[in-house]
Amino acid sequence: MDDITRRTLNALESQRLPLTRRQLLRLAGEGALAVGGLAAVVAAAPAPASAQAGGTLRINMATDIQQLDPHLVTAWNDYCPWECIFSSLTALDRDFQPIPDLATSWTQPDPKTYVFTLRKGVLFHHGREMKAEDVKFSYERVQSLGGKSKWYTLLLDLDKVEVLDDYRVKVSLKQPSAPFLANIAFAMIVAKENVEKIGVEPVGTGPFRFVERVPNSHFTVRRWEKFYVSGQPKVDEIRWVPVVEPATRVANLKTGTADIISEVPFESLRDLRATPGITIHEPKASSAYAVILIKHAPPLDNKKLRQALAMLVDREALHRTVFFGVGTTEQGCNPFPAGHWAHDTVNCPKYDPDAAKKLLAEAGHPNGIELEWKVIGTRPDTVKVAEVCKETFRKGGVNVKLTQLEFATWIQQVYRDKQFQLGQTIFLREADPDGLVVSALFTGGQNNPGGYSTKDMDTLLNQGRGELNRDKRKGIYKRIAEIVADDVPFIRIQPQPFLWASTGKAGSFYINSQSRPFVALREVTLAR
Amino acid sequence: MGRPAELAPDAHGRLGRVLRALLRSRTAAFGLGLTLLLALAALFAPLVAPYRPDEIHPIDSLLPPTGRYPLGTDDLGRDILSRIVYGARVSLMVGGIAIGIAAAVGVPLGLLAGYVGGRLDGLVMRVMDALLAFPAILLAIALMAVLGPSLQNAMIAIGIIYVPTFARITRANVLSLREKEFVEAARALGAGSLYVAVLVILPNCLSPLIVQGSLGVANAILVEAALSFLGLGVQPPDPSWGSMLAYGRSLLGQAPWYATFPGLAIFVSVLALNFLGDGLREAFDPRLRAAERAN
Repeated sequence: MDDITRRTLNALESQRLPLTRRQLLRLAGEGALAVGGLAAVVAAAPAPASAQAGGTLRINMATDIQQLDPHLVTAWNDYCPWECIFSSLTALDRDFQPIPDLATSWTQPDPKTYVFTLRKGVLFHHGREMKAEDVKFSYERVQSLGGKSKWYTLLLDLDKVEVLDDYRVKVSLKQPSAPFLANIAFAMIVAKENVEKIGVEPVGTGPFRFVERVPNSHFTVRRWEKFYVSGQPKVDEIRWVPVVEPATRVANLKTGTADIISEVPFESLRDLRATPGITIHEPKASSAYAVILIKHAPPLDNKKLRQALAMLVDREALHRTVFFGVGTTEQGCNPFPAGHWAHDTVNCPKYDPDAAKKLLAEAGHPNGIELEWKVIGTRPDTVKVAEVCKETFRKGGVNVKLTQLEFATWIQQVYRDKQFQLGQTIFLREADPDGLVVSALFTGGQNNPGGYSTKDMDTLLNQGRGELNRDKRKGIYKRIAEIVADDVPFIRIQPQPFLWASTGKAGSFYINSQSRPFVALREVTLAR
Repeated sequence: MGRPAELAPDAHGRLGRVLRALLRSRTAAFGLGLTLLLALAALFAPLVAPYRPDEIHPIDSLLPPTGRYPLGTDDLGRDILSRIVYGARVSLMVGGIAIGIAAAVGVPLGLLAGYVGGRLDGLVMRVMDALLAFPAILLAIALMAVLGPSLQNAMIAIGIIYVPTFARITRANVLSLREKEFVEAARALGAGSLYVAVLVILPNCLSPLIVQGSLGVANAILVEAALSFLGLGVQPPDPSWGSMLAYGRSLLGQAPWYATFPGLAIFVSVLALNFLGDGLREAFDPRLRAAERAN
């Protein structure tokens, strides 16, 4: 779209002339719009009555997109490009169960082998057909990226991929893997010839094709006309706009400047629930957990010191203040939340400054200790968690020095350079219990910037993934939860659900239990 | 003007006269009183504030102003009055120290440029012009990005922003003063350059600098509030009016007192300092002095 068209569109948008906007968009999309023609279209008759499909869906999210490569995403908001542009052998439905997507069916000749049959006639956005060779290439790319890829830990069990013919792939595993089918939903299929440019001009097989990304302004994808599910996607275009300020996102939704917003601030829930026409989307189960990261290096390599910290987290105080009563503090330390099949009660440390003081002395810090805590300045919730903890830690003799960083700097310092002592972050929920813990506890895992690494834990995690009997698996995960409560690799605070909200215009929108729209974006419609 | 008597002004008499002129103006007296009040509150914060500024009371989160919390509480249940009182410390300290830095660097530079003149003058003033060309807040953000966010660095950054103002004012005054008869008289008596610049010329540029200082503190408080609002100034949980405003804003609908009172604090203190600055300017104004003498 040329500049003049865009400016005109913006002007139209601000004047609320929706009837001509869609026409304009379609024409502009086909590149048929000359400047001279513009006036004619604007002056033309109202749009046809069929107002079911089409339109631009405007989504406001909390932070800007950092990474377009689906194999290198780390931030939650970076999921949005790939859930539009890419697709994978399986997809996850609303309840996080794997369903066929690029693979139409699969067989399991033995517990360690899957044979996937691929959908025929699937086209990449640059026109080439997706074939078995692309699956092999994509999986091997994730493997070769190692710890740099978030999904590396999800493909840990993968041994090798063989191409049987153009539409059949044989995947061999190192050991039987219960979560494998759900895990590969995140291993997006990429085109080999696009890999060089995937960070700037990604090409995939997903429902939308990449249009443009302007940092700190917007990220736009447009309907892929040759998407393999007929009739999908239903909207013409999705425009993701980063709006850092939570109150601004809420205001945008209420005034109709946005159709959907992510990360609804807890403090405005009461207000939004009382606003007619607005739907709050809450994940069925706790979707994410507020977690305090701990760097496992002196002095925090001392277990007693970590246990002391765990006793200084006042979950009730945090629940009332930071989370505005959303979620629960029950079993706060347990990585498998209540309601999950792998959940079993464990002994969580109670808030007890006196006991913590004693432990601190035993750990060799009778006069207290000073620790640095890095927070994301643009995410007030992480700042508030740290502020409350600073106050409760003080009661146990731990003096916290807070450092506020901008989001990208925080990711760089904490996740890439691993330069921190304490830090507040959020872990996402995956469907399988393995997905809940593996990346945070496995040696070198993507969510393990603290460098937690024990042989016991690695062994247990491997056993848990390899065990196909659910009761036996539950026993293994109980053991893992007990170690987490006792050894304190990190401190889980409480669920911190990512809430979305939409206006009545964005029909049939929903989020899955990971608080992502995922396949919902293919089905969402836009009323006018 | 320019009479040899100005060489050694009677410090006592002059201060008294300025103070009298200052108090005669109602707005200036108001500004002075409020500034003093603010300074006292900041100085005796532990005695004035009912609570520690970072003391959380989770049960009392977001309470409206009541007897227990005169200005209400924030989302973590901290007393807003206490945070504003401690915030005054931050604001005045940043304002004072930053302007101190600006004056300590700017005045000697201006004096040097103005007195020596020639190529050195050109060089120094072009650097000052370059600094002045940046919008203040943008320069501060850039400096903070380089120095890293902390209160100390905020003071340095704000100090650097106001260096050119002091340099320019000093230079302008030096340029006109160095040709005056009393300066020539001092030279004729055999005084060296350093003596003339520092002991003869500089004391005579003090009045505009004092005015600029009081106005500068007000501006520095605003810049600090803006930096803290952006998360670049005071680090949490230390209170700053700017950061309180930033966090309070998202709760404006439910807890208007959270953002309102820090905002009022910024407004009132900046207003007071501006009144004071204007009053000082009038008090130093030679035309008014002449009028006084005529009485």
